[in-house]
Amino acid sequence: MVEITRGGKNPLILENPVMAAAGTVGFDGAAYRELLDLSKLGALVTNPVTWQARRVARGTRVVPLPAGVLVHTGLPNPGIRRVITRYRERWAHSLAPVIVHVVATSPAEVAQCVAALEGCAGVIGVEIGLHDQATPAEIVPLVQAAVSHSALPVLVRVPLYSAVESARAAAEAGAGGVVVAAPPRGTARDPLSGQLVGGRVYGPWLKAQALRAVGQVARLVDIPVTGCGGIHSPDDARDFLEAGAVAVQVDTVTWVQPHTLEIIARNLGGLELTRVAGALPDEWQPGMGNTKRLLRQRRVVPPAPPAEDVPPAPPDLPE
Amino acid sequence: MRASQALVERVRQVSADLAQADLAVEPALMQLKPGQGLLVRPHQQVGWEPYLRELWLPVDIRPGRLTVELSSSWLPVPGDVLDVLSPVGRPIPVRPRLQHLLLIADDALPTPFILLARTLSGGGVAITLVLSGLAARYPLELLSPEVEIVRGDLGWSWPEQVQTLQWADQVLVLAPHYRQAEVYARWLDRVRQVRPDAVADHFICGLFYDRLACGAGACGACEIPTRDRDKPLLACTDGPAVDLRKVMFL
Repeated sequence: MVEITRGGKNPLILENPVMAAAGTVGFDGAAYRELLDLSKLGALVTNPVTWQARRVARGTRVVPLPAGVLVHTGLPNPGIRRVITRYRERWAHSLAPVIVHVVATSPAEVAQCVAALEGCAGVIGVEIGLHDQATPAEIVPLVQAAVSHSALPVLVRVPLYSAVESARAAAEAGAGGVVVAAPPRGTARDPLSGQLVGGRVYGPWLKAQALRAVGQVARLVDIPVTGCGGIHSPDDARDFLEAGAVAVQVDTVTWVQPHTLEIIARNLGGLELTRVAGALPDEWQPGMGNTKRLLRQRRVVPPAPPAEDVPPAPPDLPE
Repeated sequence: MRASQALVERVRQVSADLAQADLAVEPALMQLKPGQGLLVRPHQQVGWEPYLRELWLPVDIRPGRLTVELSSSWLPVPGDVLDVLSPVGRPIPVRPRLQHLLLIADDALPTPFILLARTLSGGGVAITLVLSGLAARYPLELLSPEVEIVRGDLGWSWPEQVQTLQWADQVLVLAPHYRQAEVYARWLDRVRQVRPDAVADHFICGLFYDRLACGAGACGACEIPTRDRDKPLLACTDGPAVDLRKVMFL
């Protein structure tokens, strides 16, 4: 059991720390029903939903990158009411608990979306997706709108390159937990059409940046962190847990090798033989590594958290 | 959709930018119909380049063997083992009592038409294939001899075009993904002008072979906007052939 939002009246508790990230398995996971066992997941996060219906983006939407991909869908969805009508029954019988990803368009629309989700069986939480340029001043009312209009636990997915500031603002506004981080935006040339295309970029190379952001947020913000970005193996996922995340979301590897999502979930969910409880990070069994011995002999000292990661405090403004 | 493996038995270069590969596959894959494809990546791949799976389309199916046509960024070699997700898409819908089929490959290699033409020409359907732009580079010896070939120009015309359109019981158009809206809207207009009587379902279909991210209907990247907002279609699970009268050209 893992608690991915802070304690309170209604904490969000998962049986497994591994989730499918927003936008990767559809609105209900049915696309992967025959390819992986959804019951092994802690939860699945739906494709992004908005109050109003949104059409798919024009032009090229998928551009291959070296060891990755750029995707620009335009977040197509039929609007929250039609999504609920279409998927309510399936969510109620879903093998994995459902977290609905709501795009943070405006406080009023976020409030309407989360209120509409009240009473949907199978839905255990809401994830608010911020846009990349969201400032703390914009984030606070968006998150407050979600928290005040829903009894469901609220997660906030923060942009990668402003993770600490955004997570702080989300925590202050009452979010139960944060997801670090949304995939960053990029631009690439479509080799077939020759056009430049903008969109979100995914791939295993993203892990290093996401891992750093998770470490920073986990140290500086007092709120449970879910790690996301570039996870392509159980070891990747464990790195996120070691960096301070309490859970992870797995994204595009599900498209490339669907069973990898299940393998990661089984591994971290204790359904495979992994490191024995009590063992140090360099051991499979307690005592087999040499960290403890070296610590005892004072030949190594535990590493201190790097200071350069801490953003400077804002200067006091003159009155 | 199911996961399986295939073994590459033979690869031959059929033109400067086109190869064919014979794959030994499990029996379920022998049930693929024209229009359906496979999402493939090398089983022994080290690292993540290429990242996404590639969509391969069969051009011939014989017992125990599937032949696919490739213009992909990487070519397999005999002995390679492939991870396969299939089937991708639905069979191309063929109108009942079809006698005359018009296929138009507009600046895209006609690979998606080959298995369909092979299947239908064996059943006595008369097929005309129009090749224009990039499609004109396709090696004609790979086509069934029963298929009539017409070369179109870049102005989307060919001799006796009106007669050809009037003669057809069904029209299938293929364009590259980045020009689909422009090309399909124009062909729909042209067919409506020439055949105002042709209002049957699937009389004119466009083939939507987008570059797929998931290929399973999860990501929404291949969504095709339709006139009915409640029923958007996905190229990977509802396509590739879509009745162009349903499509909203944005």
